[in-house]
Amino acid sequence: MTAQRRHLRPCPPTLILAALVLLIGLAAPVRAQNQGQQEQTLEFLEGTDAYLEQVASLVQVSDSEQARVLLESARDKQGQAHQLYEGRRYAFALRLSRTARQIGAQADRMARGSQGFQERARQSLDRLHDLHEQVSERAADTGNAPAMALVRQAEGLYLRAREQYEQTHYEQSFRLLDQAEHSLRQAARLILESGDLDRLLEEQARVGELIATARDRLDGASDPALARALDAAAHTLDDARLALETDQPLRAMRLTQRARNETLRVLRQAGAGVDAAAVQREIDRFDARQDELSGADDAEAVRLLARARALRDQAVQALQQGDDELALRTIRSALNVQRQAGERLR
Amino acid sequence: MSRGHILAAVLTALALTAGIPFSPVRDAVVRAAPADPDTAAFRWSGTLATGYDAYVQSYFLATEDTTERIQEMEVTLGAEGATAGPAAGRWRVAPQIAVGSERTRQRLDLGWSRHADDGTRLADVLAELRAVQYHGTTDYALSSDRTEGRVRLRWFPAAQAGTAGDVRLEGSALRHTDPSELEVDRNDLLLAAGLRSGALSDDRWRAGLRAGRRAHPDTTAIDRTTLGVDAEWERFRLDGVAWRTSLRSERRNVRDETARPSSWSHWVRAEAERPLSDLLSAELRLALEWWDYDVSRDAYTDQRRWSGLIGLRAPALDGPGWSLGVAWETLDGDDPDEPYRQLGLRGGLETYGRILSLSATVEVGRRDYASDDGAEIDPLDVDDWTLIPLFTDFTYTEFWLNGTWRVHERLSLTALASWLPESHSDDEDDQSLGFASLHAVLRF
Repeated sequence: MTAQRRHLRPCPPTLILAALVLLIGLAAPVRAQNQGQQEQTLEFLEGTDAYLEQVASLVQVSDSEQARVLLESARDKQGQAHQLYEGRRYAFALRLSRTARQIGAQADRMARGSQGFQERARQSLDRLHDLHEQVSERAADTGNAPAMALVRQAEGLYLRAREQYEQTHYEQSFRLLDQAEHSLRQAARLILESGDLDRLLEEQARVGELIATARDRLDGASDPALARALDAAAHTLDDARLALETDQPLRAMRLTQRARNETLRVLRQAGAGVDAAAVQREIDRFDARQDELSGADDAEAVRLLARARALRDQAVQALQQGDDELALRTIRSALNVQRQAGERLR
Repeated sequence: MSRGHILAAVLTALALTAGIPFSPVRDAVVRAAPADPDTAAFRWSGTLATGYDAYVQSYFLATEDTTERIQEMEVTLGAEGATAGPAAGRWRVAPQIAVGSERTRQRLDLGWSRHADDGTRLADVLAELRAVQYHGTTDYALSSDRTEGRVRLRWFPAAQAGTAGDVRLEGSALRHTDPSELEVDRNDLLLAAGLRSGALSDDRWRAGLRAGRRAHPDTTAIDRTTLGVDAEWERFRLDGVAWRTSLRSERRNVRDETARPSSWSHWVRAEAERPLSDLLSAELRLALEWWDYDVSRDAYTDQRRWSGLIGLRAPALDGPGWSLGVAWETLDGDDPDEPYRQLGLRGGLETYGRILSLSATVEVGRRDYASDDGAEIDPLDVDDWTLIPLFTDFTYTEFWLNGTWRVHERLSLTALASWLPESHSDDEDDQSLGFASLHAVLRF
């Protein structure tokens, strides 16, 4: 019985042994868990090392100062993560290595994006350099003040873009260049639409002639609405001339265009639209006058006559293609240039 | 005292000396020796400007927002002297000095041109000298002082003929006081020749060839030579379709291909605008940018970018004009992370008057990357980090404002601003880019 009781009553060494077994039983998973975390952290750290190495080769060739700074920061964080790992602070090491990867990814994005923008900005700098020369010279030659203001604006953007390029901020540089190009193209557009002033003056003279022709044809007609419409066209042309005098070439060009369209509308409504015979009469008039002026020895007059001849040929071509309106406008241009040559010879 | 500082002192002295003959009377005329006797007037004008510039870039970086900012106040004094009147030989000199909170800059332009009786330019020479000195506390990350010189000679054979020639020789050099890996000295040489439409042509066109060489005295591996072709043609009709096309192709040969691969690049743009009525036009713009590297690697990957715009515009005639259109862009390339498609709606307001010149543009759109399927991935859950898409889809807004207000005949205010925020499918990729500038310019 005693023996049985002894058997039933655990002795102190047995208790210790049982406690040890229990402790070992409980500790084993913890140690396994620790070991698992250690392995996972080590694996993640090695992965980050490999990734940062890969990003480094990209950053090295990218010419991006920002990417370099970011990569350096990622490497710092990764170095700290390794130190935490050595100190067995695996959770902290893992978290910091993850941060290092995120910064590395930002450096990666920055380097790749930067490379694309660098190429685009470099080409844009070259292109704008040429475009600026062309447009600024044209703006200065034509005395187009609004265009000149846009050229100055573009110059400011271009210089800022160059500084950003030197700072390796290629996206910012490219965006500024894009805007500078927009300003230069807008300036070029203003110059072109104002027809280099001379062309616009020629066009206004042609529209004036067209209005005079329309008045001749309407003479005797009793439709007051058409007469009022023609007066309105003449008034629009006056506005266009005023706009040109007050340094608003774009407005002048549009108003000139509107005056011509209004006049042509009146002619169509009056049934006095353009016909091939009328165009042919103008061509004949041109040819007769051209013969009189041939043999001019003034260089400028010779050039004007050559241009008038080219316009006359374009008018003939338009007539042959059945575009009588275009033919009439073109031959009137030719006559106008021819008249300028004649005035020069006088 | 560094070379940069000596040059700064010399240029500053030149700028101030050039400023002495300024007269408060507009178009003050000073007699100068070089021009023709009958038109030997030399006219000076000047500008005094002050203003503020700010560049901002922000992005989310490892649990916190990061903002890089450069702010700069600057005062600029500039002068321009030029031969007045229709002289055969015309001179131009333009010194300028700018003192700012971050840098001091100097600039000197000298030019001479030869003209025909009708004003056509026959030849010209231009020399430019620019210097920048950064202050010790500057926010600019790359802050080595630098000096840059450039000389350009141009000759226009048969300038007055139906087809004119155009020959150009250009050389430039850039030197840093304290060169670094990203602040590299360089020497450039360019020879270009082309043909262009004469003054009497209705269409404007140009076609040319160019050959260039860039040498880096300290880093010869990235020395390069370039061969290029460029062409442009534009036609404008008062009542018809206006056309404009441009092309530029370039071959770049790098000395050491392991440092940087040689490449081909092409840039093509075509634009057309057709009036629909007196007050409305339809416009179409297309562009292609193409990079083809001999060896596609690292950040140097082959790319083709198509972009375009189709829309309507009401030109600024009696008041503000407006434009509205759909813009698109696609990128196709060797790097699987980068290809994308982008679609946006662009609207703008503009006016170009004598008092106010203003252009404001807003574009709102979406960019979708082929590699981003929208799935959220925890980096701790993947073995290969490179499998996570590097770029994520985003919605963007791009805003631009360019304005000049002529307050007085001699005083104008210029405001330039841009803001480009991106809202990504992954919030941690959100970023924005901004620029603002406000300047007052006094002309005298």
